[in-house]
Amino acid sequence: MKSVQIHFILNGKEVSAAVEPNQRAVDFLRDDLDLTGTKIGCGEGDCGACTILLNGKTTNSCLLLAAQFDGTSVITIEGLGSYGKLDALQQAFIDEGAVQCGFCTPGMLLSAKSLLDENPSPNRLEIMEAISGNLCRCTGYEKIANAIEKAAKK
Amino acid sequence: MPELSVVGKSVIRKDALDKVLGKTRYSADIKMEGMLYAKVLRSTVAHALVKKIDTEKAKKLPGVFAVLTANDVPGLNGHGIIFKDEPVLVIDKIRKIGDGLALVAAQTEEIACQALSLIEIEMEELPGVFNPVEAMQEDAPKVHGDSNILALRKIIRGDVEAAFAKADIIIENDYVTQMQEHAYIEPEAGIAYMEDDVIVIKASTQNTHFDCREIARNLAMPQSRIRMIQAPTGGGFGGKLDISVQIYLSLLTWKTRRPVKLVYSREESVITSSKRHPCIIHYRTAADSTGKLLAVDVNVVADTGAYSSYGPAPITRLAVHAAGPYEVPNVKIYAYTVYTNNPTAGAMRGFGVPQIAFAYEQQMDILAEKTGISPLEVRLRNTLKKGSKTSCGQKLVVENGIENTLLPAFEKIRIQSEHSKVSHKKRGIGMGSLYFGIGNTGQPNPAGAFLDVMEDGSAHLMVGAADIGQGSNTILAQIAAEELGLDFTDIKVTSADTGVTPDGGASSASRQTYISGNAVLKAAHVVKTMLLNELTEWKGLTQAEIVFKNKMVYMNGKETKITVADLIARRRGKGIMTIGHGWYNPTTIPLDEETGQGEPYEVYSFASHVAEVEVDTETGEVTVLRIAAAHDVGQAVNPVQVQGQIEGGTIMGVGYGIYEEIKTLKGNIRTPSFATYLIPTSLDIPKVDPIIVEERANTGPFGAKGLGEPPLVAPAAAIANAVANAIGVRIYSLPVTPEKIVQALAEKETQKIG
Amino acid sequence: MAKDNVAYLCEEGGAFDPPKYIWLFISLLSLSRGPEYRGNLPSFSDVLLLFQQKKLPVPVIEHSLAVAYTAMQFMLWLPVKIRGHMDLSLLVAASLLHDIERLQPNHASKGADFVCSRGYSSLAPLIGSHMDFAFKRGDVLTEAAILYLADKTCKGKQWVKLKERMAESINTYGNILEIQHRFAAAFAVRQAFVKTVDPRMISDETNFLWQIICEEEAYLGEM
Repeated sequence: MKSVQIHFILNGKEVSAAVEPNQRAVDFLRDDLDLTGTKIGCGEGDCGACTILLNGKTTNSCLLLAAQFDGTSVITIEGLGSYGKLDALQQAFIDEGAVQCGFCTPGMLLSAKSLLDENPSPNRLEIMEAISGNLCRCTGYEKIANAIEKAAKK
Repeated sequence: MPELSVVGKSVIRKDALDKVLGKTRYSADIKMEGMLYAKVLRSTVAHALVKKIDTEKAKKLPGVFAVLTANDVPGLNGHGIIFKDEPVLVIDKIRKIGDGLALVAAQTEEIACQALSLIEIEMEELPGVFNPVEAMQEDAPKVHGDSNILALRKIIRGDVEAAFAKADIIIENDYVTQMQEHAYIEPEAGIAYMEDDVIVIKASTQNTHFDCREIARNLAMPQSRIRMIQAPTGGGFGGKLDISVQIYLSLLTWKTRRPVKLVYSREESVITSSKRHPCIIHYRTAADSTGKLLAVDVNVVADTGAYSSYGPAPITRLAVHAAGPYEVPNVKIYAYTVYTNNPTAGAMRGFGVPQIAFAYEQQMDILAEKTGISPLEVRLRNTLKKGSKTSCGQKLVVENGIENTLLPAFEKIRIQSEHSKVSHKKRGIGMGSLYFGIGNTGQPNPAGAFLDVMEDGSAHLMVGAADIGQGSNTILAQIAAEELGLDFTDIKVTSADTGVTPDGGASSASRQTYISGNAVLKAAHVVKTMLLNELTEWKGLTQAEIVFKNKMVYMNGKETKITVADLIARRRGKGIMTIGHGWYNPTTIPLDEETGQGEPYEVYSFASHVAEVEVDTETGEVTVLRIAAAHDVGQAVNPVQVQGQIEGGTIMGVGYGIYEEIKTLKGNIRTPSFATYLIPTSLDIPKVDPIIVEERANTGPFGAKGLGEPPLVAPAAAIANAVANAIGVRIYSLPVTPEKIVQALAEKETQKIG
Repeated sequence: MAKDNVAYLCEEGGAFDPPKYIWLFISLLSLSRGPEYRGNLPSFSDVLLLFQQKKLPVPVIEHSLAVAYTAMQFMLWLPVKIRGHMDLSLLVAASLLHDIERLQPNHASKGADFVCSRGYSSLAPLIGSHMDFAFKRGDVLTEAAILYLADKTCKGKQWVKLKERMAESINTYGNILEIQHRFAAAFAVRQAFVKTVDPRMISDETNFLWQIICEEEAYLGEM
């Protein structure tokens, strides 16, 4: 299998890499770049654990090919915040008790980020719609929505 | 009761930071140099005799490091929570779709998959049995041995026949509940490697010490040479108690001496993991005309699938709770656990009680209808209370009955209920109450804790309890911090690592707060005694009331200048190590084989849910508008975490009530993905109002009881009752789907005309 | 004054621990909020607010709670067939507010006017008749009758036998004939009530109250 060259912006930095034509974007991130914050929950685009932002829009990276990153701007959870410099959403998730097992958390945060970038003061229904592609089995979504509301007010 | 400073506060949980940064390494995120990838060859038929497994071609494929079959299992080829009836790898008989036939470890996943396709299986298919009632017959195909009846739990008390003979009201109905899938978002995964002569396994699990014991038995190795570490786990809910990847990984790493990683796909996870027992329930209730319960006669057949997993335990718990949180002087409960060639049923949050609650709570509402009193009153009239005897003859040590939870939940819903604004949409309110025993039913289930307190006032807490997202690490640290006045953030918790921590038992049965909590308290107490002795030696005090709080020593309610760290340093300075250990096992009396009488639990929690639904009578669609969920937790160690458990469990219960069903056909799961097995999304949920009720348990750490499962027990029952209240017809099977409602309404119309 | 603030009575650590029956009242009154209810009743919070606005003294509040509890128990003892025609929420609401104008002369009719002015006119007949109730043998038991009997059964927040209460009135006011005439209605209601009760509905906890209602010896009882 010949390798495909891609060139894109990842979490604000330029990246050049060679990928297999049939390699999934999520595997490229996790295996080649060791960015394991993006999770695989189902591999079929149903659970949202693999959510990334592609040109600002939420995308299931398990349904995307790595080759499709070429020429785009990608944000993964690693690009949202870092130790000592958390995004308001990340801090709100911590403060509001929105994290239990944490597996859905990266995807949730990115969906929330995409929402707030587009709509800085969403109402409750808009919040629930924005995260409707991210399944959570632990929290019942209530505190996640509370956290997003809180971050929106900042 | 002195005021608490750490327990009862919603401190920030310890692992939240790494989780929001995406830094937490779950099993599938762990990488090691030179690691191999494992794949499992699984059967695609439900019942067959295996004649030959030929792995020669697979072994020869370049990049393949090992191909293992049953012959490669050095020790016992069997595992299981109670009975070791599930083979590590199939020797001679396939009993369900998904049974492991062979293992491959290869350089890449692709090569491993290729190798699987080169393994040749020769088998003879057998007729399977897929219906538990059929399976109980003499002539049914046998899954194990010569009977498919794994267990019969009987609970007999009083004289049921006499009670039914003189009853004014008899209510008799059949209820059917479905197979539910845990659907944790993280599929099973793990990695194993050799470290000197020790096999180290890091995997997604709820019970490391059980895993270790199984591996030791299967590999014929001492437990001390197997180090089972719980990697951060993305949810369990009872589905990660059974062995999944652990033994496979141990075998492969031991054979290849290389690190080996195994990650399940979602489909593999659904097909292989255990499920909630589907049940067929025949329920008879006898009462007098005032609505007072006289007797219940319950017959349950539970399909446990191909392997026993938790064996008779879930259905035993079901039987113990079958009469509901009510005083019933005469009971006859027969609960069967039956093998079939269906997917295995085992532990799932609620462990049998959600199923029976769906039945007993609808019986109560029907009783209310027949007597002309309200559902609220019929429950209050019959509630278990202080001194009541349960179905097992145990005298309840509680202060209040269900009114403590039912009334606040009821008020919360009624006060804001409104008429539906659309004529073909009908609203209704329903309730579901329960009591729930904490810990394993009538069995020893201890937990231990080690505590090492350093002279600077920081501490290292080692507990076997696995944190699967519910936050046990955090609350156990809170308990230790409260007892010794240490700073919560200075306590580092290591959990669920057989190389470091003592056994904590499984994170199941809603038991960790109560049992591990007590173990931690005891360990902390050992150290506290040392510090009190130091205080006596140093300052000569004997009678003063000493409390350690916020790092300081308080005497008779007043803060002194002595810090807790002072005392620790002084003790250590004398060569006395401030380390503590403790373990706790609830006192129970096992259930009698014939009558089921005994004392199955040391402590119970009551809970009540009240739901408001809106039913579209044209489409049958049910919208759950609101659920008020009131739970007695004894003492909320961390209120935000308690709310999180209530909210999450309630939503899982809503899924159980109206959306979720694992559909099988001849043992084949037809719904193995999130596209076909629908769990609630953020748009499918009611507003949940969690209500924390605290009736302190004398025996719990700072009065705490347990909480993990009760929130899942009530919602389906409350929703079913609410639907009946809304549209006047009752649905007797789960889930309550639009199709069932439309059909029931149509039948009601036909009856009216006919 | 702290004692005028009734909310604290029902909070933990207040004048008394919230008795279980407060929750029962709350639920019963919230029943009146449900879609099927046709009347207009105050919620329990509304009642507390009225207590506060009227600056009702603590003993009167305690008495009102006691009467409401007693009236509720009385109705719950009646056979379902008879109870089905009655309105438990109405009875509880009226009992809670029956002495809302206690500090005024003629407090029964003043109380009836007051609840009308607040939009709770369905309570007016029960409150208006609770001092001077007309009842003779053969009359049908109503919510008003039960309130009347419950009020007579509660001296402050203690339960008292009718006979004992009558004896006390005679001691205080001396006018035997007039007092006996006044109590005739009470005894008639009591008799009708005792005849109608379904003994199976009496739980162990409330058996003590039942003994007070139907027994003959003079005996002061506490709730």
